[in-house]
Amino acid sequence: MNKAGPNEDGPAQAPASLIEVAQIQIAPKLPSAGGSVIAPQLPSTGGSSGGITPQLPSAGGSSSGISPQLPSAGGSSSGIAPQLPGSGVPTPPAPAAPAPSHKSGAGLNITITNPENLPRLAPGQNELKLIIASPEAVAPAPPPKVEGLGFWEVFLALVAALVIAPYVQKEAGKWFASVNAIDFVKKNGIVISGYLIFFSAGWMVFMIVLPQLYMLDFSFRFNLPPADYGGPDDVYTLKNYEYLLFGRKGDEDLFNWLHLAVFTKTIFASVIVTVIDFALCYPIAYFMAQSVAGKHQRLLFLCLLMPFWVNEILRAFAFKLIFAQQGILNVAMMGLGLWDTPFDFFKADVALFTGLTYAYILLMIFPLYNAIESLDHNQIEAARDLGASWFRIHLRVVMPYAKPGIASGCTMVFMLSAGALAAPNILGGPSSLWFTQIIYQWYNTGGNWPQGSAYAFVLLIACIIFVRIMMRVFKVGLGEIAGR
Amino acid sequence: MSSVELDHISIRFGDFTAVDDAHLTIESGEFFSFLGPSGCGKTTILRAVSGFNDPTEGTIRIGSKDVTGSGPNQRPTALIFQNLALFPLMTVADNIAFGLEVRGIKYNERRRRADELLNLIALPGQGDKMVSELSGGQRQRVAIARALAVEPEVLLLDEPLSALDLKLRQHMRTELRTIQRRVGITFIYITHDQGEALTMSDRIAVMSAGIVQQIGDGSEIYNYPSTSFVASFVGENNPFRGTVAKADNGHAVIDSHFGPLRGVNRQGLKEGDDALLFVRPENLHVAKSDTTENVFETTILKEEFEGSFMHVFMAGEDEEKDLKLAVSNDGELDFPAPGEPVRVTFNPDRGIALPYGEMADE
Repeated sequence: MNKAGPNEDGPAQAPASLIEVAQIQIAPKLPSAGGSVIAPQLPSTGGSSGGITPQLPSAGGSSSGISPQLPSAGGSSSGIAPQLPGSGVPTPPAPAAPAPSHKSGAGLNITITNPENLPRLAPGQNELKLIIASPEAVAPAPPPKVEGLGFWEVFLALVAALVIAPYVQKEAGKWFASVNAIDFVKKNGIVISGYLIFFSAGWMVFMIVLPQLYMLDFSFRFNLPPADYGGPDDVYTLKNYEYLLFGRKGDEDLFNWLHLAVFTKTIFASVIVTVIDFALCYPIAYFMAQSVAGKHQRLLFLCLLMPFWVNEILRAFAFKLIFAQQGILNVAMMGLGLWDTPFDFFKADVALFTGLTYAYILLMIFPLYNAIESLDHNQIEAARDLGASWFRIHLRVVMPYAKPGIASGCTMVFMLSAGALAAPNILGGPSSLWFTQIIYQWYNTGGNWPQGSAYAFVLLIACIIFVRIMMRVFKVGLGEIAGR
Repeated sequence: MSSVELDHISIRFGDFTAVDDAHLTIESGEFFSFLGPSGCGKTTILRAVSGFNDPTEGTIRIGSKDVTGSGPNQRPTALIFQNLALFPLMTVADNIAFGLEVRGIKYNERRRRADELLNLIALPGQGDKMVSELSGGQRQRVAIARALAVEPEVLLLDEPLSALDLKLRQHMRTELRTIQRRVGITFIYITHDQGEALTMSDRIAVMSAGIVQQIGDGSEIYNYPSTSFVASFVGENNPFRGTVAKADNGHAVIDSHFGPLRGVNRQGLKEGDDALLFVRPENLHVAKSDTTENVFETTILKEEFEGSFMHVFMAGEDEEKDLKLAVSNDGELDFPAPGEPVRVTFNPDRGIALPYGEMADE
């Protein structure tokens, strides 16, 4: 578990003793309100030179007594605040500086103007509160004055507009004509096709391509504080990918066995979830597609759909109740005398597999149903008439026909299982870890987005490669998965 | 090769009776057709023989062995479906050899058998094609080969020619008959097309509303229909409705709209019975002046010249029922023009007197 905790790249340990300084004023004297403040003379790089900054925690990190009192937004130039967006944007890989003490303010010129207001340390008290604020926080910059437009400017603009208007109109007319000549536009009209193109392109670019490209770029970078972005340290690196393979340089093992094992296990377990889902769903889908019709079919669909109105978390926790030590299942089985000590379904991953299998059952059933439904029932009868057993009919007639549906369902279930987070989090055993959980820890607890991105991309690429290999093995084309 | 015996079988779906007490024996090696309009129960009989549904009552025997209740994969029958139901993802050879594959026969032997059958159906060397690359008629033949590959004792064909165009259909009739003679097994053929039934079959069972109306060879069915349905369904016929005035010596005189008309009485009509007398268009002639029996007078409505024949439409009992007469073209067609009255007669042996009953829809 220790290597899995990305905390190791996180902030240094909390200082043993926290300082509390209050009501300190620093030159230059500001005539401002709020009593005394410290005006930072910190070098604005945000680097580690100031004895205070390095200890500023990112969100989940250890607490230093300084941060909570920081005036929030205004301090942006002080060199302290930028490291503190709540979301866990990475802290610099700081050399664990010694905890600042009274004496260690070497880099700071602190002038105490009204020492009488300083609280005394009570006997036994070893903490002081330090309130730091930047000058801006105290005296916000006045808004820039907007100059009004003069008469001549408006007049000239109007004249210019009138002069170029005919030209613009003519060009626009040409442009419209050429756009209208495109078949797609001709068919759908300019408004609808404009809408379609704009939104599908917008969707593609802003929802899919750009964010992923951004994350991909992220995964090749060092975990720098934002202030260093674009700086000399901001270069591309393979270190994040290397880490998954080899771990830290100084480790005993050559490879990062722990993460690699979790990765392999995630892929393998997702395959098993997919296989179980297929085994469960194929008979149901076949039955619904070929054997029932009308009212009964609709009823079956409802029975399948309605349970999925219950949200994922609720379902997962309900499973947790079922599989708990004193849960329904254990109580029932022990009551029946099948076993006499509670069985740990979580440790055996039974709960995890059940949760994942159930979560994606519809994504398997519907592609299968769609594929099997269009199979001519006469083919099944013909095979039967020629003497085929049920097993052979399915193997030779139904399954080859439904192959695109099978591929589609399996791909979806596999991909989503491998990328699942809620079910492994809630239903996973104490010692088992899903690869997504590691990724999540990098992002969230570890505050190491580049590392998390690299891990996520490795998972994505591995899944795609795996699926493509399977498609090659079973001779399914990519187009077939999308439907004939 | 086996005979097929339907021993008083009835098949019901809920309240609906699809087949009502069918009792017949199909001889070994026979080309036997069930002919009837859609919904008459002929396909239900076929599915019962192949094992897809079981008769509600009665017994089915194939080669004197009771097969009632055994599944389609346990019967020595092979069914050719209306839409053929070839497996689209298999090659032609794999389709043909599927039944052999199921029986665990090795690939090489399977392939050899498939090639033999491809020769039989005149598609040599086409085994590696996909089904989709074949024409309609070729697919037809592949379906036959696939069924024959399992060496069934009885081959069941469910309107297999209905999807083909007219020319190909006529060609396939001859071909099917040839294949049947060559392999010598029992063929049971389902069709609503009387042309197919008459040209190919050794015997035909005409069905209507779940009831087998008549069983006989083509000429028997055509010349001596035993019910009004058969008479009106097979070929064209002119019905004359009336009551039996006299019945003697195998003939009956019917009092019709056109006066007393005489025809063959094979169905035991008695005086006073409600009856129909059927006379085919080709058996109606213009009467010579001295003819006195079986003569009636009507008006010519229109004439249609068709080469070897001329069809003449004449006023019937009422406006909806024209009488049809066919004159064979002997080179000097000398026939009264439309609008003229005409005296028509027929040979009493060519008129068929039947009890009044259901008629086939036009």
